This record gives sequence, structure tokens and C-alpha cells, in this order.
Amino acid sequence: MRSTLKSISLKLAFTLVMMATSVQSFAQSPLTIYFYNPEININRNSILKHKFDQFLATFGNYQFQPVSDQATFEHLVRTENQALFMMSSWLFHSFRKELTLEAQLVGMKNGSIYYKKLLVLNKATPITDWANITIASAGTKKYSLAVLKGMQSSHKLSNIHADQLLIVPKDVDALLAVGFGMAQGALSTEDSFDQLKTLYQNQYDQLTVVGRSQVFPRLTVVASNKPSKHQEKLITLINQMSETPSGKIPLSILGLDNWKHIDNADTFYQSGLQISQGLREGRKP
Amino acid sequence: MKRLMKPVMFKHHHAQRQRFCRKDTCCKERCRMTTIIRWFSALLVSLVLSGCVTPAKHSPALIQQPAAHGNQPSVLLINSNASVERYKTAQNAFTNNINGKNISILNLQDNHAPVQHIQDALNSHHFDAIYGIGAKALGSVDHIAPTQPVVFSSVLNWRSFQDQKNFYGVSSDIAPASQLAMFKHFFPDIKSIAVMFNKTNLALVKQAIAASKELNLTLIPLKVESSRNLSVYINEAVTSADALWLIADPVILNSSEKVHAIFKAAKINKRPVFATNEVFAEFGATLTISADLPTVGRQAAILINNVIKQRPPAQRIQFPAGSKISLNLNKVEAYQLNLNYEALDAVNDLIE
Repeated sequence: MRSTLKSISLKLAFTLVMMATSVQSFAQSPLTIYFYNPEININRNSILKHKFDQFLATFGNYQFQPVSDQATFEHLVRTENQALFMMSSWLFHSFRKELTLEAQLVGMKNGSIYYKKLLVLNKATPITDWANITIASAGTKKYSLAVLKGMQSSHKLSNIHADQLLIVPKDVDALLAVGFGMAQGALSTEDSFDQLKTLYQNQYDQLTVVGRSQVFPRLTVVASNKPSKHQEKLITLINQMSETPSGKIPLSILGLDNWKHIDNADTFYQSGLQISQGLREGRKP
Repeated sequence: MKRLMKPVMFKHHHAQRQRFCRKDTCCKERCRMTTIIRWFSALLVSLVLSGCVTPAKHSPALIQQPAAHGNQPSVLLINSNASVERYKTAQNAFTNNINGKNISILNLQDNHAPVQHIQDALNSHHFDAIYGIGAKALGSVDHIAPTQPVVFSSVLNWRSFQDQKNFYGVSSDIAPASQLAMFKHFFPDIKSIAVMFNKTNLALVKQAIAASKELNLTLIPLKVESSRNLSVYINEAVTSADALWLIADPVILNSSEKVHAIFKAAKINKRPVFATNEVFAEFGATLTISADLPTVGRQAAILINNVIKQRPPAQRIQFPAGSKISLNLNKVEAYQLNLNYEALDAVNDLIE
């Protein structure tokens, strides 16, 4: 009888210790924001992590984790139920219906939650053979090709193939590459093209727009469609980034100046359908 | 045999051994035997290395990538030293972006007969084009003067090769106009920039002056004849302009003392230094703009594709298309500079 009691009390103590350990480890594991954006160059991931972690550390146990490839990121989206995800809106749209996740916030710049991609060429070099020109772009090859193929243009952009793409770190590099002869065309956001006008009028004047994409919603913060209180707190923190100097810097590195809360996700996602379908069809770069 | 390296090295070794054994007559015979064995070993090694065993091993360091098919164009990639990070980065970006080509790689690290080995590689295989990374690779290729088109990158003295008709390449520094545009983008209140230079950089500075006018900036050129009176120019540079632009000049930057002197004067006068190489971030440069190395490798891949298809580019030597930007926020704060936050989406490194 005594030995049975002793055995039960030992098991109970062991269970309590295990429970306490798991509760402690749960409490210690940070809430993670996984980041993947094929529209920007991955060589800035370390600076993004550093600045986001610096911002988040003042508010609690949070961390920012950039992911460099789409397959790993998609796996995380499907398995990490507690996490938040920051990604291209069109990428999320491509697998939105399969998941119980929903877009919570969308990035803003100059008061707009949408952006457009342009294909610009040098006015001085008329294109006779589209299969032989080089196009500079700051996104991945897969993304850039999908955008080009979905563009409204009087030219046959669907003939452009991956070998013609020169991947550069940022939009301004792509635009200046056309001006200085390293490429004949550049795929750039309308924001960056407008920025060039202010920055370098002479270079801007040399360029002409030959293709325009549909509008896409900007970078999106995604979480469970029924976020926990912990997740909701983090979403609020992200939403208020522009109000603090430590939040303003990582926001600027992302190319944004604010976030906007998404009230109606279905309406929001009417855009970006074409490119998402292109990517889902598995077009190879 | 053409390769005399091994026997020469051995002779030296043999002499050492003889000197060591001079007073020990008992070991003379053993020493002679060792000498003979070593001669044979050296001869064997020399034969194997020189490719007498099999033509495929003509160049000992030649590695063929498990790539395309026999009928695809072939490229010989010559890396000056594959253990150097910047060369390795360019090589990896190149090989990841050159589809449908057979790539053979020759690493010249510790190679004391690069011209010989490159010549052997060119004799043993047909190559449609050559990609040389670094000065050792390009200098050796230039010595051979091959008939194939040559693409190069990561060569600081690239101007020495710009008149070779079948040479194409990516230069080392970002276009002066692009650099000035980025300075203006980050710091819209900076209106005048001083630059010290020697006659070797006259052409670059002339380009920069033309660009500065387009950008509504005032570039103050300070031509330095000799580094002996550099302090006078440093003083003028840091007092006459809002900022100082440090370009890769062999006279201005010929010692670390001079670099320190420039940064010390800039700090005293609270003038930001903009530089063309990220190494100056450690000295206290406020902004550095250098070439993004993976982009350089990708550019070289496109150049190779085009020259193989006999579609040479309009400009044989191109500026690097991608930039790598480092910003020192401490200096921004210390000098109370007006930073355009919108430009932060172009930054690769922030120093705090």
C-alpha cells in the first residue's frame, strides 16, 4: 500500500515538473513574424531582422525571422499556427483559400495600399528583337517573369525568358542600369520611377514606359483568422510602427511609411489575381 | 618538360640535404638513395601534373561542372583565387545564372605558372568564351591573347585592358553619376561635395562634374599632384564643401596614415565622408556605395551569353549594375544630417 502511494506521488511529482517545464518553455518561446518577399532582394534580410528585433524587443518576447526561399516559407505558413507572416499580398492570395489564415494589415506608402509595376525602356534604343534585350529587375526571376507576362503592353512580353533578366538589389539600380547601358529595360515600381524624376531628372527623361501591371496590394501581415490575444497584441504593435523612431526605420527599409488594418479581406483580394494564377500554374522561370 | 617547378624545388632541397650531411659520412649513401627516390618522385609528379598521363588532366586545377550537354557552348572560368570571398561570390553568381553552358573552372590559387596552365586548358578543350575573375586571371589571359571573347570582373586595374578588342567586362566601381545621385537621395540638404584626385582619375572626375551639374550638386575637384602636400588639400576639402567624396585614388589613399588623416579632419570639421568601398565604413565613412558582387557575377553571365551568341554589347566595359550601400547612423546623428528616411529601402548595412 505504502509503495503504491509512493509510486503515485512520484509519478505526480514527475508530471508536475514536466508540466511546469513545458509551460515555462511555452512562455519563453517568442512569437515569431516570418518574412518572405520575392519582390525585394534577399541580401537585405540581415538588416531587416536586426532592426525589427530591435523594435520588437522593447515590447515583449517577439522575433522577426526572414526566410530566403519560397518553399521553406510556404511550409512554415502551413505548419506554424502560432506565428505571424509578412509576405507579398499576391503570394498570400495564391494559397489563401487553402488556409485558415487571413490578411490583417497591409503596407502603405504615400497614402496608398496599392502599387503598380512598370516596364521602362531607354527611349534612345528602339527594340527590334524582344528576345535579345536585358531587363534589370529587383525581384526574383520567377516573380519578375510572372509580372511581365501579366502586363498590359502593346509589345509581346510573353517572349521574354529568364536568361534575359538581370537581377539587381533594388529598383533604383534597375532604373539607373538602363540609363548607363547595363540593361535595355527595367522592371520597377511606379513609386521608384516617380522617385527617379525627383532624384535625377535627366535619367528619368531618357526612359519611357512600355508596360504596366495591374495594381497589387502592398506587403501584407497575415495571421490566423481568429488571432489569439498574444497575436492581436503583436498586430497592434506592427500597426503602430510609424509612431516610434525605432519602428520607423524597419518600416522604411521595407519601403513603406505606414500600415493599414484590413477590414474586408475578400474585397481587398480582388486585386492580384492574375499574377497569382500565373504562379500557381507553375510557370518555370 | 616545360614545367620545371618540381625539379627546381628539388634541387634546392637536395642542396640543403647535402649541406646538412656534410660532416656525417655514414649517412652519405642513405642520403644519395633518398635523393634518387626524391628525383623519381618529383619526375612522376611532374609528369602527372603536366598531363602526360591523360590529356584530360592537362591542367591540374581544371574542374568541369556537371553541366549541360556535349553540343552546348563551353566556357572557361578562371578564378584568380577561389578562396577569396569576393571572387567566390562572383563565381557562384555566374555559375548559377549561366544556363545551358559547359563550364570548366580553373582556380589559380597558389598557382605559380598561371599562363602555362591556362594555355594547357585552352589547348586541351575547345572553349567558346573565357570568364576571368580578378587581376591574376585577366593578366594571364591577356598574356596568351586568346582568340575567344574574354569577359572579366573584379579587376581593379581594368583600364589597362579596355583597348583589347575581344575583352568585355564589369568595372570595379559604381558609375560616378549613380554614386552622386545616391548621395543626394540620402542627404537632400548636401549641396556641395569635394573630391581629391590624382591625374589617373581625371576622366572619372570629369564624368562626375558633368553628372553633378545634372543633379544640381556642386562638385569641388581638388587635383593632388603629390601625396606629400596632401594635408593642405584635406584641409581645403573638409572646409570648402558640405561633404567629402573619397574615390579609389592611388595617390590620395596610398597609406593608412593618410586615410586616418582624412577621416580625422572630416570628424573635426563635422563633414560626412562618402566612399566607394565598404572598407571605409570602418574608418568612419557616413555612406559607402560599392558594387554588389552577386550582381557582378550575374552581369558577367549575361555578357558571356551575348558574346557567345555574337551579340556584343554596345559598351564593352560596363559599370556594376547593383549597388551595396552601408550607412553609418552614428555619423548621421553626430553631424546632424538631414537623412531621407525613404532612402532606407536601399540600404544593405546600418552601422549604429
